[in-house]
Amino acid sequence: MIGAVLTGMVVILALWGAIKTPYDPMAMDGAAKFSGISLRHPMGCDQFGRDIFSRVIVGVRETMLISASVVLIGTFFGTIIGTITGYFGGWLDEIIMRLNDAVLAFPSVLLALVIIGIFNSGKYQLILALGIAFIPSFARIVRGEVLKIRNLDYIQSVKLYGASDFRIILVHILPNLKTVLMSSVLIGFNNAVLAEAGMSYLGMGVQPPNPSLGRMLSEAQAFIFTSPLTAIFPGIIIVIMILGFSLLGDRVGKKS
Amino acid sequence: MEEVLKVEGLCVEFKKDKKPFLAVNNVSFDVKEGEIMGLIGESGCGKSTLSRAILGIQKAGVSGSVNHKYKRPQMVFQDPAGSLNPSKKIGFILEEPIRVKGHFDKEERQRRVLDMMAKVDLDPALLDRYPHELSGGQRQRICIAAALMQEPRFLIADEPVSALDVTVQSQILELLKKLHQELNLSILFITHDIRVAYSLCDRVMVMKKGQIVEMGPRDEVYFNCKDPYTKSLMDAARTKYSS
Ligand SMILES: Nc1ncnc2c1ncn2[C@@H]1O[C@H](COP(=O)(O)OP(=O)(O)OP(=O)(O)O)[C@@H](O)[C@H]1O
Ligand SMILES: [Mg+2]
Repeated sequence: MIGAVLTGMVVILALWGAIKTPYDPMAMDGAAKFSGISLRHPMGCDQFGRDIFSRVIVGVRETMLISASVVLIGTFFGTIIGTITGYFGGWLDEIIMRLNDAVLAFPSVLLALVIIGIFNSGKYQLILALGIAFIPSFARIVRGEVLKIRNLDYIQSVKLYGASDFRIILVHILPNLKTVLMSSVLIGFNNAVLAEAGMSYLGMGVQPPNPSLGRMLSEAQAFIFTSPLTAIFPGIIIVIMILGFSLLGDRVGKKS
Repeated sequence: MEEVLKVEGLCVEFKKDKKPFLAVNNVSFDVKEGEIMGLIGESGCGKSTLSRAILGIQKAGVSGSVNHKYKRPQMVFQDPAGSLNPSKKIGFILEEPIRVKGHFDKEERQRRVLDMMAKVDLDPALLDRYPHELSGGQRQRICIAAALMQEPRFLIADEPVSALDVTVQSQILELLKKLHQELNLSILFITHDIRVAYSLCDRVMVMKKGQIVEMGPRDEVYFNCKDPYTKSLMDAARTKYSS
């Protein structure tokens, strides 16, 4: 319940950011530099006099879009790899899963750093890098579930009818991955939010002057003592987002 | 060939704690056209493993020969909870065997599904439900119906009534008897309940630790078996029956 409310709040912010912001998030106003909380600027202004509230809601949208894309890439390819290796087994499974384990042994942010090093930094490169880094964990989860399902009697009976492997996977296995995927997507989303913030904080994701939550925290670093507002609001929103999705994830996990 | 199934020297080897162990040990028997053959044995003696090897679901570690007279033998599995796809409606599950075969159009398939529902005495309204919305007895009827959709001539029923309570058990047994006659079906019927085997089967065999220790017409095995293990089982069953 709390999870749904928190997540709902963040989603509303993101949608708001997609439609209209009170100020242009990039517009600078020399007179408003570091101004505090006021009716005109509910979260104050940053070092260039940009409205923090406007930047936060656009930042939330960016962070959510990036995280969702990352999870989408991870889920899509992870499901394909996990299903094929889990269903067919054998040497293919051995090879791919050894590779998978090797990749999993690195923290995903570290892996993304390496990939960014190859592709250069930027928003789309970040999505690609984190997406690739997220594939192995999804592949592992899906493979485990497929291993369980493929030995169940209903799969055996469909085999006795003479159904093709393709049909068995598509019609009889994939739909039963729903619950497992649901909870791992929520957890994955959380990790992606953190990873995006981390990478943008390091300057490897969203590029200035565009805002994302991580980007804003990174820029606020220099003024954290003189003007804490620049860091507090993006920080709070990240915490709310993570908390909301964790709670939702727990709920889904418990239900199944 | 008068036999629908002929099994010779069938062995299935598993690894248990790294040591090889024969779950099915040199089993030979046949099932004749139109008969119900019973396979009796206590839990863990290898009955399900034997049936999986016969149907080719279990391939690793299998040796010996298995010959089927007819194509596509079917099986009713032991665990009614795991033998229906939880995310598909009953209508879809029953249609799947003939959809996979691809011989009939949609209309004909649905006609056949309705026919089969009538054969297993189920309300067609159940077709719109999911497996978890059925009772154990209804679920087992669906499993039997699904196994018969391709009109097989040989069926293995692996403890089809063990998971059900007694009144439902006898209903399902009656249904199997009826279908056996109507559809000219030969059945390998697996059970650990000697009384169930006695009421249903023409011939029976007794399995112990992967081996067949006794085989013959039902009355012969029931009243005059030679094997001491079988004799102890039969005596126990008779005392339970009379008390
Ligand atoms: N995949 C497997 N790998 C290793 N051992 C197995 C495997 N499947 C079954 N076994 C073992 O083979 C033996 C026979 O098992 P099986 O399931 O055939 O018994 P069963 O007669 O059907 O028993 P039940 O009446 O309880 O169903 C058991 O000791 C079991 O532990
Ligand atoms: Mg069994």
